[in-house]
Amino acid sequence: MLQANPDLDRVFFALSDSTRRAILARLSQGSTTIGELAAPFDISKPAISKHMKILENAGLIERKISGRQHQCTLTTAGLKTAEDWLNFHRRFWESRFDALSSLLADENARQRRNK
Amino acid sequence: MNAGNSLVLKRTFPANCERLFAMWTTAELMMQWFCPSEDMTVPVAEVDAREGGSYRVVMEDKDGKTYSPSGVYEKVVPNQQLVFSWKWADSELITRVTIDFKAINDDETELTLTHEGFPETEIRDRHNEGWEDCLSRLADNV
Repeated sequence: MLQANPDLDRVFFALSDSTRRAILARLSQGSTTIGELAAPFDISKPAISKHMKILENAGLIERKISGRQHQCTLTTAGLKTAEDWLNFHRRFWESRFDALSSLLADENARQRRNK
Repeated sequence: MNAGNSLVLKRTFPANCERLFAMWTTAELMMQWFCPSEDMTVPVAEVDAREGGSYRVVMEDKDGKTYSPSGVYEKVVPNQQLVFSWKWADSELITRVTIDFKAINDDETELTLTHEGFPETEIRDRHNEGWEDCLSRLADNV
């Protein structure tokens, strides 16, 4: 079923913050530098750096350093982990719904017979 | 990209709200359908469906491997809504499940299940900020 997955914990932690989600949304339009990324957000550069580190550790972004510029790009590894989580739980709940539905239908049929 | 994603499932069940709600909040009833397959048993189902109460379910396959979700009820509105945290025993991750019950007629209820994989948890963020403050104060003093 579901195994302990520290990667998943990191990905969901990274995605649990609205600033970090906004950063990812921006990066989905193309790679950019940290300076450009920070511009629309009303937070300090060290704060942005901290967010970037969390996103990087979760496998959601990649940083390339050329000279003094940090170029950030969206990667797919982290999102794949999140997608696996969603798919697993979708299957889990759908199979529970099937079982609950047939249990209720069986009870209804029994009640009708007994009337 | 929709990173604020969560799982939402809707299903209509052949029961009224009261009966369907009981199916989710009574241990004996849950044991009859919560087990994911014929090959599995549910040796433990503890359900205290009150706000602040907790639940724990243990499912066991034929090799003796167990799978166990547990959590705490954050909100319980009889026959209308259930909100509870969700944690697999082998994971550190705490997620959140919301179940809404909506009567369609006397015999049918529409159930909406929302499982948030990454809920915005102010408490956890505050907790982290607290730590960061501590660490930066420590750094200042070293």
